[in-house]
Amino acid sequence: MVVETTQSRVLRVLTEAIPGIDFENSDSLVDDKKLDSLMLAVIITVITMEFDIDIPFEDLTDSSNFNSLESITGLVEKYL
Amino acid sequence: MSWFISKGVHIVGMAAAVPEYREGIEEYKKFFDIEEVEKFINSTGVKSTHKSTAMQTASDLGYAAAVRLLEGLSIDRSEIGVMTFVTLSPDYKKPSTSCVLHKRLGLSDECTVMDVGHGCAGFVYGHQVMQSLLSTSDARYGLLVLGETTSKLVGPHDHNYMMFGDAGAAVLYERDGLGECTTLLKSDGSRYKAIIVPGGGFRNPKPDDNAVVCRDGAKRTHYDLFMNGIDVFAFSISDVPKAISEYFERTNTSAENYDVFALHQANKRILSLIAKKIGADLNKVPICIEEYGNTSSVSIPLALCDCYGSQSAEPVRVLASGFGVGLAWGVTTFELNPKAVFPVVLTSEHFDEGIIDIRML
Repeated sequence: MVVETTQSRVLRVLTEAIPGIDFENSDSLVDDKKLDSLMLAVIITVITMEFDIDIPFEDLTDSSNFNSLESITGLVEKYL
Repeated sequence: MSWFISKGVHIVGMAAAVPEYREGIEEYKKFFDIEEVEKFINSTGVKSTHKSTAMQTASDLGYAAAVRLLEGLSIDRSEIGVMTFVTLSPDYKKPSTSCVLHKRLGLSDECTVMDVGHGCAGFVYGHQVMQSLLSTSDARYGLLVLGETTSKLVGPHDHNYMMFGDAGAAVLYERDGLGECTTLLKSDGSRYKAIIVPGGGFRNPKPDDNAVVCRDGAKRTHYDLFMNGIDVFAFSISDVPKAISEYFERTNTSAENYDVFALHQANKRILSLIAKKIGADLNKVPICIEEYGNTSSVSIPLALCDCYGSQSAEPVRVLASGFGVGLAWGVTTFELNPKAVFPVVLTSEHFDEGIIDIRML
């Protein structure tokens, strides 16, 4: 049986929700404006629903938390 | 703390009105490429909006709703002793738009009127203002009118053009000496720039109207609405469910005590996240944002009219929460009789007399 890691689970829900973004090969998704506020709203929704977590305001508005797959995974793991 | 407990006033009924003119995906495609339209719909849930005509104002929409409500309930207008108009889209800089509505509705000079300047939290703020005024008056009825034409503040260079619709609503209150209403109102002025139209007020009355590219990539003039999307989204899913939880604690209730959660229709994803955080069944959240978009202070009564209009169901216990520009937010609860909730009215009418030729004053 293959155990899905948190990162692969994050990648799965993100690519399902926003198919056009290469989450695996960028570390500046927000800084490079590949993710805008509409996409960030989708990301926050899907990771909150998928992992049943509650991310506080300070981390939701810190754009560095959404610059890469690793940083988004780190954010999820912080509140799991 | 910003808790209010009012006694002896209840909601009799409500009505809502929207402009006849409707824009959907086909119209949005004239201004945005289809990928941008699809991304917007996926993120917000908004598929169409009703937009006012050039001559149609927020008070025209509120007026249409008020007429529907008062005629539908056969109310003697001389018994209305308080009327407030909630808007950030006034007809004039002076006088208060409530004075114009006072004339149009044929209210008595015994009736007290005032504007309440709030946006997305405006229904809950207006509800408490009405509770406070009516409960301390000798009047039988109070009329809360709401209207907003935010679409006029967003140009087609900004994806929020697809977000905002226009609407009006009216809610009738009666002083009966029975019952109690608890309301929580909150404000955070430190975030006043999160949603702002910086030009056209008295701080900067006549800036030039050249559009410039802003940090988010959208082109705007000083007269256009700016919204920090992610900050407002984060506020909506953090501060608002926290306030509703405080409300539960204060009133010793839980989500199970309410039949309906009438939440400001800001974004479909926000509705889902708030419902999840407060333990509410999403099926109990009326959702009309797909058809009408974000209609600011009107969205709560509009959602209730869209959901319950023309139904003959038993009275329901409603928890309402509005949140947005200010920033301001609030929570209240009330009982609503669906038999006195009217279906949404479509209107293209405007108050012709209100278009002033200064030579004739």
